Amino acid sequence: MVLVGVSWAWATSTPLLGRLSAERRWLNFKNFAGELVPAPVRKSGDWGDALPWAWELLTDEGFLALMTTFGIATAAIILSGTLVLPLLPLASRRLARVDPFGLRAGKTNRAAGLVWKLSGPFVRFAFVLCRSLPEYLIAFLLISLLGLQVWPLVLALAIHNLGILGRLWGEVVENADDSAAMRAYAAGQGRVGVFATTTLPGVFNRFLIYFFYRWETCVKDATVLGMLGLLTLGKLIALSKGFFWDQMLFYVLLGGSVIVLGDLFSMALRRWLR
Amino acid sequence: MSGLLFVSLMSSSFQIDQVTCRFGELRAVNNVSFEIRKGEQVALIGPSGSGKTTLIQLLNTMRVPDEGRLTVLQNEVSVLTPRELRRLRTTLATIPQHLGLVPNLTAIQNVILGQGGRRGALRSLRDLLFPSRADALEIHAILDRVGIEEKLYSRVNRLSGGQQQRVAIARAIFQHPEVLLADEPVSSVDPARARDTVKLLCELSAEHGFTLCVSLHDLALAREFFPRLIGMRRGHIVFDGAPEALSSEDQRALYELSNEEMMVDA
Amino acid sequence: MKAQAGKYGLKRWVVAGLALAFLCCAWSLGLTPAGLVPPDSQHWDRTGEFFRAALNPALDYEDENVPADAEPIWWKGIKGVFLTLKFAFGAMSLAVPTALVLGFLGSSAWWPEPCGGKTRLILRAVYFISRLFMSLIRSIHELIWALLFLSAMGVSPLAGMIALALPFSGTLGKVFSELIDEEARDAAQALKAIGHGPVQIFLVGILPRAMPNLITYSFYRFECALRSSAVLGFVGIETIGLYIELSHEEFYYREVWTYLYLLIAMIVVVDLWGAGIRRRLHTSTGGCAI
Repeated sequence: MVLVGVSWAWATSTPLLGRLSAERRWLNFKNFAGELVPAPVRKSGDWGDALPWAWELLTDEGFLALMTTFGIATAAIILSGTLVLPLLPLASRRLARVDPFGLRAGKTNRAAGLVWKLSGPFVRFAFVLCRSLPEYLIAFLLISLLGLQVWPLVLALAIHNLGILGRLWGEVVENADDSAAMRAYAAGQGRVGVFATTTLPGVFNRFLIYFFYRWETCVKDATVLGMLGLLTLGKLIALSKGFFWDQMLFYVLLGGSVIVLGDLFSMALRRWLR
Repeated sequence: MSGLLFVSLMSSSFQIDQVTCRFGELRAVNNVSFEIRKGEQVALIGPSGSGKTTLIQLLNTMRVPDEGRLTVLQNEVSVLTPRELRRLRTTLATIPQHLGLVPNLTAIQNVILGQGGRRGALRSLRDLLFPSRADALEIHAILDRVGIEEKLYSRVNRLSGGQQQRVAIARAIFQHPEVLLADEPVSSVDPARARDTVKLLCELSAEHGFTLCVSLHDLALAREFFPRLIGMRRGHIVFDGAPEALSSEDQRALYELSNEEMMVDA
Repeated sequence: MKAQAGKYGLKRWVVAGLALAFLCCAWSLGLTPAGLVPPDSQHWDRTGEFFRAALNPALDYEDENVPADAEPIWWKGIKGVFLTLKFAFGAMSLAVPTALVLGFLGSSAWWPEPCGGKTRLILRAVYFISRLFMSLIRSIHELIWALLFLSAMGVSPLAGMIALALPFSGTLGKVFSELIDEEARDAAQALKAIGHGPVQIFLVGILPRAMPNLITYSFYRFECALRSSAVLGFVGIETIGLYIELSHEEFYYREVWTYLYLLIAMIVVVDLWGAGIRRRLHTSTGGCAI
């Protein structure tokens, strides 16, 4: 099935290289490559001139954009983590049922039975829906509704990651050890209490690992969400595209290095948590 | 409401009347009747697979009988609504065979969860993060009583098996139960420690006045500490009485394999 | 009471720290609850219209100027879905082989043992260079790669596929190398002991062992590639994202919803397919989603 898909993808993608002639493309590429060299260097030929140029770009808007990117990603991932947590007991295959863990819950009526039967599939499907739309698309739609401000970006990232965290954390919960939870249930705690006081502390570190993994992804995504028009690196990149290729490359590399840093940070954190 | 009466005025903790519990074809508990009075200390004995664990699960209301009547602290279990059942369960402390501790929480956090059923989700969550001074003092006293007061703030997965068992006992005590049920509490510790643990449970039962019901496969321990033994074999009760009354014939009925079972085992 | 230092566990600080971080971010970005509702009546109207359109997706073009003999909108939408799928397939077919090679170079489980100073040095160098390379291509978002490639090569399917494939092979390669190192080291050790060569060890001992997780993870990335491929429409590559953007520009919200529903349906189907594969292989994304 995969093979069919792959061969179909390649066979139908003609012309692979678009409609421009090879000569024209090469010319394009040469222009493009030439303009990636920082403007002052192009003039003087001395790479030493690149440093003050880079510093100016950084202090002018680059740093502010960097902070905004970070802020949006952090706010979004914390928001979505907070929203996912109360939904997890409702999505869990073992807690969200009439008889949690297969243990007696008491004499229930049929309506309650139906509610618990539907709750898990319903919440899990909601997670699928949330993660099915790419964050860029959600942000694009939300900006047209809420106006050009930071909230749409935060919300878009939060909604998308709600679905992803719901799945990743959900899998952790399904694979978690239940003995403490069953004991708490036997001592008269309700489903939410059982989840909050035994399951959650038990899987806390693994939750954190995923949380930081998604945070890292959020930083990366927040960068490009700026292309929709807010002051993050993405906006600077989009603005300088086509006119100042050198600046664009600088911002791209700036964004990249931030992500490498975030990567190293969360790698160290994960190692420490394991 | 079917009447959660004020329990300590009444004299019976459990009344079991012709109770049967099935798993498919298998009758794990078969037509069993007995009564356990308040404050009694009872050992459930018998070989593995005799139905002790199922009986404990019936007593702590995790299961309801398929046939017969089960009354726990004056409440008929099968008619209770979820809310009533949860209220009842806050008075029943269980120590499961594998203890059911949260491994990466500290001892005090695990013990404080004993009150989780009474205090509800939010309060318990707060207790976990910010334990109140009064609770901390009480838990310290309990841990002191069970002999591990210096482990108050140690993470449970850094404790030895015996110490973890003490934490589980402390958690049950902090629950202030009417009844304490323990399922094979000494199956995974060495004989000397097993004796200490059973002794501790009996002493605590006497001090706090709760009913104690422990399933044990070690007959000698049961005879030494418990005034009443209930012997089970293949879902039936084959003995119910004081240890002195346990004849060698009874023991044979409890533990010896019949020819037919030997065939199965081979 | 002893051990006061350990009293306040990690969890409490993490919870407090995250709450603080959220407040800081919200303050510095100017996030107020007021921003959560549309700012003026024009936006309110638009919001209302947008969500009304959700209940009533377009079955016909909203634009009157579309010629009568044009393909119907649902057909266009399905075509968009398949174009999206196509880009994802194409990108993944580039990314997975690249990632396998990169993952092999960026792992150490297959290294011959004992190995002399010089070989070891070369292996180390290869290891670090491939890791660095993966981290570089991964750190730039696929949309930005797309911008770069479209600028360099002009709008073409290949540019889109390569733009998607680059960051994906970086991520896949990193995870592959970790899977290879973590899951299969003991198998590799055993084979080394009976004198197999490094490539042999990799093909016979390591790859089969890590295969279920490799497949599961590749499939998970395929789901991501689908979403990214839809987004590529916004930089001008013909996927369903392009249709959504064009219809949205003209405020044809009902058309937008038609495309959205088709996109969602496709991704849900692929998601369920992936869940089926995970069940069959007894793996979870949990094992390797990082």
